[in-house]
Amino acid sequence: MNETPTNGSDPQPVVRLREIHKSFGSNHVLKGINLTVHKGEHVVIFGPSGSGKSTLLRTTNLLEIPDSGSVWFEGTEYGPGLDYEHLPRGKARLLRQQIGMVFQQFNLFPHITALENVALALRRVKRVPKPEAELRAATYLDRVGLLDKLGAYPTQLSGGQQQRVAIARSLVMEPKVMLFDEPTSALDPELVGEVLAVMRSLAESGMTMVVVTHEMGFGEEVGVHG
Amino acid sequence: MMGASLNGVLAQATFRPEFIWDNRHIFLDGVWLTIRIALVAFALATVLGLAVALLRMSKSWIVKPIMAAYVNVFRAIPLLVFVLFVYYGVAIHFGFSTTAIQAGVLALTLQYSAWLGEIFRSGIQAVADGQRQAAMSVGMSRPQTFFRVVTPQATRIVTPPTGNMFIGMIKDSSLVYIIGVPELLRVSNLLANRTFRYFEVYLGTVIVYLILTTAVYFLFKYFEQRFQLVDVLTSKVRSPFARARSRQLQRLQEAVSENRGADSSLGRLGSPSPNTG
Repeated sequence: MNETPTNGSDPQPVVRLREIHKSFGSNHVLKGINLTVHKGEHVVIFGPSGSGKSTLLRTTNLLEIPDSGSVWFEGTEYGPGLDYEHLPRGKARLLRQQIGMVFQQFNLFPHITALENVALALRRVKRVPKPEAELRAATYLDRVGLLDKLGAYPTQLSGGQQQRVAIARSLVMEPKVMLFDEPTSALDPELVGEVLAVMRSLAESGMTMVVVTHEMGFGEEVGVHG
Repeated sequence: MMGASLNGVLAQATFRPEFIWDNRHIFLDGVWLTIRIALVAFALATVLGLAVALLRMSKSWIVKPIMAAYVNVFRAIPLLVFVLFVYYGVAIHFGFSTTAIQAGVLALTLQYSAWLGEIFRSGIQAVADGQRQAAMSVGMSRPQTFFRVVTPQATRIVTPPTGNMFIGMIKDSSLVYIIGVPELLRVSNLLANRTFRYFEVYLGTVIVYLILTTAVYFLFKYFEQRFQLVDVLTSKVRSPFARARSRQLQRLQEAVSENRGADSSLGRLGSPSPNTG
């Protein structure tokens, strides 16, 4: 795994993983990972199955709490921390509100419409009133080309459409970083393109992104190799 | 005496369906108590069952085995035996001022809370883990995740088996006749013993139970239909609420398409733009 800044001569770090360790039983998956992601940078992570790519991504927003190590995000330390430092720790929930995540299996909420999927966190986490939240949610669904699917439930959407709703659901929270965990692996081949196209535009718009993928082409295109 | 019972025996020779209708007030009194017992016991069992389900999923080494024992003990005792035990064995023996109705409701509640607890637990655990992760990844708290994401999905999963349990409750509520509660079965027994019209009486009892359970069946079928998800914008099935929501979404679509491009930082993603080759 490695990384290269893609734009800006003096890139600011946004996320910094420091000495992350994580074991599942006797399987020591992450052995002191350090990773710095700068503003506007696109980091693509390749590697064989079981090498801990997804685990690394999931520790970045503390969906997986590391055994030890620290996640630095815009001036605040999160996670269990380092043995020799005793910095005040931020709440994982506040970290997650600022980092978006897209999952391999989309994980849309099946009991509510596409619009409600995107508006849910705005309403419940950011306490935006319903009309305003739904307008913003519809705007983001429009950005991913799904304005006509506002009223559809996830099961009525194709895999590619579902993944685009999932991207809108993350983007509507206006995250500083987007994490993608094999976003196209569960898609039929003919649906991969529409999702990659959205990700490509997002990369061009300057979004900071960390992507775990098998799509070698995508990694090369956004200018980062691993 | 002799004459009365002889009359009774002779009367059996002819089937008199109007006998059921003539004694409707007796059946109605009984069924009214049956309905109240079933509703109260089921409501209490639902609340208790939710608590059982949540405690069953606790990670505490002390709570977990206690709740496992609770569920297994109450499910293992025959209900008729349990009704007798609660009323004669506990309430009367220890001199509690419990009425037979209260004891009966308590016995039904305890047993049904164990069954319902298992149904609710399996429903909650059946909601995919990815759902919790997705909710937490957008910054929702654990309670928000539970109430906004897990509970609505679990409700859909547990509705059919809960409906079965409610039908079971109506039928099982008849077992409290044994401690003298004058519900449908008890008043039927008394009427039959008094008049010797066993066929008419128990036919009436059967019909009343059939009506009750069929009504519950259709009620839960309605709930299940309510859970069917159709595209709000394109669906043909329209309730006034669905029509209003559909109009709301159409207005949203119009508002968004009019404002398109007003904010250049919000470009469209995934469609060809000047930047892409």
